[in-house]
Amino acid sequence: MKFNYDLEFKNNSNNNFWKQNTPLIEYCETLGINVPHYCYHKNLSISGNCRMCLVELKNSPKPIVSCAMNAKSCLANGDIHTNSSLVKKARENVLEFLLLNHPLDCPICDQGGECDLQDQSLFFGLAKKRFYSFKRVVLDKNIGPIVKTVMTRCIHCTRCVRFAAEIAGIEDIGMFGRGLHSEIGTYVEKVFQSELSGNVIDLCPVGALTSKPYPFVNRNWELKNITSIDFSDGFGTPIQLFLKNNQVIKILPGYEKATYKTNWISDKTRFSFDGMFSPERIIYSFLDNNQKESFLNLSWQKLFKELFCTLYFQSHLLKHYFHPCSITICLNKNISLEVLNLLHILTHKHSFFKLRQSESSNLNIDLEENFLLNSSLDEAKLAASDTCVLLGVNPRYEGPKLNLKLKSRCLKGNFKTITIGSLFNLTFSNITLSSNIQILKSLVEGNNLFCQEFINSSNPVLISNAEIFRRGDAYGISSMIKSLIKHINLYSQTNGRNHLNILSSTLNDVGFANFDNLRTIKNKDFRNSAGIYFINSSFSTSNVKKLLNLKLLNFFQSYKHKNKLLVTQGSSLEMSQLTNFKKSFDVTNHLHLPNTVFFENSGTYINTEGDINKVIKVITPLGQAKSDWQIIRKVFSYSKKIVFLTNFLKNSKIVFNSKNIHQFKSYVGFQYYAVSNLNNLTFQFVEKVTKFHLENLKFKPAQKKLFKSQLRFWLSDFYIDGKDINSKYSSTMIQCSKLSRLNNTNFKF
Amino acid sequence: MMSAARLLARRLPSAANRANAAGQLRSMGHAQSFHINTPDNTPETYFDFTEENYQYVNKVLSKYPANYKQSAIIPLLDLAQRQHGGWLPVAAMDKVASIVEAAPSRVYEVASFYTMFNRTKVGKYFIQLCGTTPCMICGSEDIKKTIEKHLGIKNGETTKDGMFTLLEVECLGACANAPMVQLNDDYYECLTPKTMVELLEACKEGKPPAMGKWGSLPMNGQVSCEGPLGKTSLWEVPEPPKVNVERFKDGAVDPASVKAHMSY
Repeated sequence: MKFNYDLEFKNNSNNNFWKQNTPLIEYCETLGINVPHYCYHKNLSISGNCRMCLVELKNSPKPIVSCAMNAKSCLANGDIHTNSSLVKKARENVLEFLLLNHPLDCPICDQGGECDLQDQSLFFGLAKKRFYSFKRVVLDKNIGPIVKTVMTRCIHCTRCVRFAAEIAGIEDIGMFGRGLHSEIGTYVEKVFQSELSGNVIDLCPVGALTSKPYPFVNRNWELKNITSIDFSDGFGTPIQLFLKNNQVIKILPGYEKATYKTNWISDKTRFSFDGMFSPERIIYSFLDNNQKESFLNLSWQKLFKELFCTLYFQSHLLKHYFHPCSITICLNKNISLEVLNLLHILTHKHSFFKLRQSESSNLNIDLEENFLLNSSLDEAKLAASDTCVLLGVNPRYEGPKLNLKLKSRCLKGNFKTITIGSLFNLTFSNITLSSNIQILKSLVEGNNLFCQEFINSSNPVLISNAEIFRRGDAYGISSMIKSLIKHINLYSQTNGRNHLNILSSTLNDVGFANFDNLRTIKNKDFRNSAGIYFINSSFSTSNVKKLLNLKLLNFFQSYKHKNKLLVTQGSSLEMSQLTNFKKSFDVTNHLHLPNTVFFENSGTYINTEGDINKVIKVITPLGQAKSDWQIIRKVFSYSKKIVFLTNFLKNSKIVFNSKNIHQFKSYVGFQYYAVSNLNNLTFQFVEKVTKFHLENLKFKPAQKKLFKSQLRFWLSDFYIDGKDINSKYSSTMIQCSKLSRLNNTNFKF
Repeated sequence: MMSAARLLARRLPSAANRANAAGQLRSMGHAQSFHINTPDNTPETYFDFTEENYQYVNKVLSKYPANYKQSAIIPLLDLAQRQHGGWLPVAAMDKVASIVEAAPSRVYEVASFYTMFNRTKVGKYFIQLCGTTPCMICGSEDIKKTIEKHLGIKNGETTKDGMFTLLEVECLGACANAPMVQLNDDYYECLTPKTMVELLEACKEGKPPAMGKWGSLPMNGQVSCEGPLGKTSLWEVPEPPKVNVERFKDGAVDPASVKAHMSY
């Protein structure tokens, strides 16, 4: 922290740009004067109890607390001195009192080097010690696996208390007792059960609250700071990575591009990165061909040779059976655009490869605004609206950033949140209409009591997520939403933008939707393909699990192809899933290609707001791991050498699904990202061309089917359940999820 | 939790001794600033207001706007403490929190801030002995020794039968009639070791002497704080202070109605 304490300023009538209620301290900051402070924080309410920010006002007999004083009234009253002898003396004395009970254990304190108290004592403190009495001792509190407490160091700034009450919405932390005996804590032994609890580590100006997963690892000055983005949810919030010796040490919130303000980040963002480097991660390749010895740690060259020899053999073998043979590449949505493009080119070049996505998605991707979070993060737009409908979305876990925005809007008043879905504590007041999707029908038909409220509301916002469109009745839901917009004038199109918001669950959902809607993997693909190639965590998705279970139940007939090839490209493998898979799909060869994790990768992702985020590689990969694009480029180059006999389509011809062709976006997206071989673009319809007709715009509820099932939140366990690959291997996240599940159940073990 | 309790048991007496020896700190009647589970005081313990007390709860709540229910925290905590024999278990605080729709920690903060809320179990007769300067000069040390000797407890302890708890506190504002003790809600003033023992014996029989005319009981026969020589001033009833008529244009306010309104 740099203190600019040489500046003094006088009331200048030109300086009228500040807001009505700006505290003096904030105004000083705009002038480049840093007033030392502890309790004041820009995003929290003002408490004014640390007294560190005292400044001198010309007409005031006493120094004033600059965080609790209005800048306008102060300047109207007289000149302000931020570095007068009175102010210096006041700071000195305040610091002396703060240090009365603060232990002098900076050498063993994790905050050392980034501690406000340390810095300010150096700048403003008294060099002598005048108190020789005993210091207060406070018992440490156990508030969970994220935050380590050393409560003796606490200087009672109450930032954490205010954060818990105002931002996190879990009012578990408080200041108990009075006077000398007051303590920050939870009173009863309790875990601070918030998904944002890690932020109190940053907030604490001293070493009272420090990071529990990484104690005594580093000093601030040893770390290299690199900006990156959050990988755990759809927002791609900027973060700061701190590196030491090619290792990620800690993650702090980064600066927003537009506002240049730091944000709050969730515990998952902050601490789940240890899953990337966990012992479960596989960093060496292996080949398992059902013989006694499996080949571990093959070189990449050998690996690819092995892979393509097998493929070539299969291709030739199957030629005799007159079966078109193919390799199905199955991928997840958390893959970068570059890799996606490369895969697309690969599949167009060699139709031997087929591209499938692991989970179905019936989201309408015609227009970009159908799958973006259009308005709800824009503060001006949120301020203009007074109703928000959350349809089957739990913003607290699926997008903590969104939840914070909604909460701050809710605290300003005149805002009603209506949720359709399971009951859940969103940390702000909300009305749950029903957990049944049928309620949409009654809303559309105008039978519901809330219809009147919708009509009276101004600029209502609908937030949903991409996951509910994976339901079987997705088309029904989307048509319902469409009619809601049309018939009840629910989502007014002010400023030409739709107030329908879709929150995506992974970093690149939007990029994926922009690109194309791939076909979902089905049993047919398993049956017809000679090999299956899983990229990233697509192997352990629920859809693949479902297919696997159905196969185990003999739901499907036996396959034509024996001796299948299984290729897994990922940083980890679920062993139980793997053995099941091998058993039921008759896999003879299993190849594992270790790939890199998020921070070892460069890539482009489009987040749920439609912003393009570029990530650069910040650490060198462990072991044999290679980036996805490196591996796929290699696959590409090797497949050029082999002429597959089952390339049943001519190369450089693009196959479009007749269903797909009307989805304009997919064509545009394709044009956008795969420009390389568009010169000789011809379309070939593989399926029968359906007659193109405009959708009947008149609402007919009978035609669109809605299931009577409950809307369930897809993310039941925030810490380990998400769609990112590594959090379920993170020991911190596992501890957190264990505790949260223990606290959310009625059963005591 | 056990470890915390054990740590505290190990730490607190020594800290108190050290402080007393150095003469710098006094206990100031404070309890620890966090909860320790005991068999009769865990968050899972059952507590609920009685039927009659719920009427009082509603009466208290009706005094505040619906969105400022938190204002009722202190009267409700007081009610809970009275119902629960002079002390507040965590369960009672949780109950109050649920009634006023505040977070439990907000109620814990209030309860732990005010010293009149006892968060650990106290005896049936909670003796708060004033030990501040005027009382100390007039012999509160002797009174303390008398109580300790008679009941066999030390400062801050409870008798084995759960009848008495002794706690030395700071000034209770009855300096004119020092030394004094506060027994639950009642002030017993002008004590001597002898009258203190009599008071304790009367309490043991379950019949503590009733309060006098002016809301307290000087144990030496005084009516109020007139002193040992009897009344020396205020022979006549003084004129009541003049009421600013301008302020009560709509009619006089009956003090009794104010008290009823405050639900005293």
